[in-house]
Amino acid sequence: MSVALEIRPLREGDEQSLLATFEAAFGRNLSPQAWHWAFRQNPAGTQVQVALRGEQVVAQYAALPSRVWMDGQARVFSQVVDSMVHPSERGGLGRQGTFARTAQAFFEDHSLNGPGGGEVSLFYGWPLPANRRIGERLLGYERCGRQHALARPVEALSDPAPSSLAELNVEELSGFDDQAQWLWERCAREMEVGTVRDGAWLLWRYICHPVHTYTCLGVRDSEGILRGLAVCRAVEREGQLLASVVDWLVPSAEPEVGSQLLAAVELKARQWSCDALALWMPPFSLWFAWFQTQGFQMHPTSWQRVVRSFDRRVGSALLSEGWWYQLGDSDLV
Amino acid sequence: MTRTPEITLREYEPSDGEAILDAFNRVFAGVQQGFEARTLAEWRWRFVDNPAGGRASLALDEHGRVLAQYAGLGVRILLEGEEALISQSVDSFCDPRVRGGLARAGLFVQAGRSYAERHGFDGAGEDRMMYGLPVPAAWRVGRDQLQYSMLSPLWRLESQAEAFAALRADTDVGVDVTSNVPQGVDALFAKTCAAEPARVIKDRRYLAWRYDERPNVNYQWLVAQREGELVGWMVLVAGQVEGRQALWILDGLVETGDEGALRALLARAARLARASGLDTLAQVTTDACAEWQVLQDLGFWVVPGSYSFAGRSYMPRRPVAWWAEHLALSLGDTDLL
Repeated sequence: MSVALEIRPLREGDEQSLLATFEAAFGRNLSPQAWHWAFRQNPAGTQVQVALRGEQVVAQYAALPSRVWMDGQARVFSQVVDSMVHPSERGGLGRQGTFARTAQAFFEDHSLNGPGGGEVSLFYGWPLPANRRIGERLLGYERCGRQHALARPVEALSDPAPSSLAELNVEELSGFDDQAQWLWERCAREMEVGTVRDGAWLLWRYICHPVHTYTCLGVRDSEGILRGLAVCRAVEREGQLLASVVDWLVPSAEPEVGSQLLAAVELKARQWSCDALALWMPPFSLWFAWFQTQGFQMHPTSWQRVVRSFDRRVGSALLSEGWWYQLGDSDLV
Repeated sequence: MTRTPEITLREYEPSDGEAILDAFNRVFAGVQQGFEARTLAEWRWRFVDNPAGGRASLALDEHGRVLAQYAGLGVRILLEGEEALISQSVDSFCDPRVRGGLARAGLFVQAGRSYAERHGFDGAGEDRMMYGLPVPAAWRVGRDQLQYSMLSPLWRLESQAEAFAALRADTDVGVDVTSNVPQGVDALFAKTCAAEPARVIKDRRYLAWRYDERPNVNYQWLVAQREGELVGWMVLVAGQVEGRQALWILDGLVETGDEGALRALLARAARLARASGLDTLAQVTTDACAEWQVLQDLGFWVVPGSYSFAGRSYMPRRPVAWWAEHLALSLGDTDLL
């Protein structure tokens, strides 16, 4: 007789079994450091529901929450990641199966107005096609269409290219303080909703990441005030090495700061021998048009964004015309 | 006490035109600023004369008055080498006087379900998918009750006419302005689009109906020829879409890779725009369009449109995600202009 299924929030002590199931489900290893960073150190908290048979974790539904600012209030959006079911449980991928029951328990615990008193207005993600289909069928995922990227080849400049960040008055940042929040607050006026990119979030997302090394480029004025921030990393995608701008935080009224940062990203891209620059930019942002004037073109990607809203204020129109998100709001880079 | 009227749900017949228009014109005049009443000639052109057929599920009261309509225009496509039908949902409405409360589901939803049951099916002669550009309220009802999914945004591609007027075109390509579908469109479509996964069939029969036979609208044709052979065409009209006044490229086709013909057509279109006092040349498309990259290379920039391209697939092996990636639509494949 099989051991009864227990579905509950993650507890201390589940980690080892969870990571073993991760390897069985995805066929790759997730280091304890990477797991700890994602699910224990996130400044917005931990959202993990597990299903166990005895001591063994056999399924997980998990998300990375972030504080967002909307209508002058803090809310929570949460990116669904690493959801899985052990291969031995895959017979139960129906509505009453292990995976769906784990996910339902997760939503009950974490969704706004749910019985568990959760506070998440919106769950979102860029799932693989098979996972997306399961999500649409069983979990109320709503597809928002293809994700688009702006990209431009790294061209050899005819003029002598700057050889250092100092030449561009751009510095590489090794940490974030209150100025990050001030910068974000200046940019937030142009967004209807977006992740609060304060020092704590930026530090966790980019500086403390246990696997990837991000380059954080900043422009300061003569008084030392941070006027703009670009975070980038070289990423291999479909045979190309891309200098991915994973975060771009510059008030749109300051295109000269944008030009400095873009030049700095190009400098890094050349140093990393990248083929192209790439980023995500919401089409409603003034930066979307600006990057096109800098030679970027819009490309559809193979990623499909899905959402599930638990907040009637967070509807399709807001998500397509007001949600400011970047590659750094995903776990794809 | 108000008596609940008897409701009949049935498919439209050509003789329903006046009853449909009576309701349609009344309902849209109440919700759409600057609405111009639809004529019977325009209605017949859309629904009766359409070579791929019109469809409409009607909800009528006991006096034969139309209370709600869910309607669509048939669209012939080449789907992985074979001709198939899909449809564009248009002109759907529910009389506000009877909206909700008459039954478990509103009349609009009942008409929509009846339409889907009658026309949506993975089989020959049936609509393999349906698409449309719903306004936000219709999108919400469609998503919640009629299984709509979001396919993709419709993007505007815009350029300054002045910049395009100076595009260097191949000297062996001549471009003429005409008012009718040119000779050779069938052969060009067959040569160009046979290998595409999903493409609206732009043959003489369709093009003549869509652009030459439409009442009260004059479209301009640009015809590109090389050594007397048709190598490309475009259909243009001046107008306003999403509040943007421009010379709009509704439709067009050049052989894949024939950038010379494309440049020649665009340059001529840009000169026509300037001659009409318009500074913008623009088109509306999905990112599945074959020329998506080359149009950006030539200088079009991408602007988000306010319309959402939503739909429902009736092919289990071709879900909406597949259509979103493969179905190229142009402005002429909508009823916006």
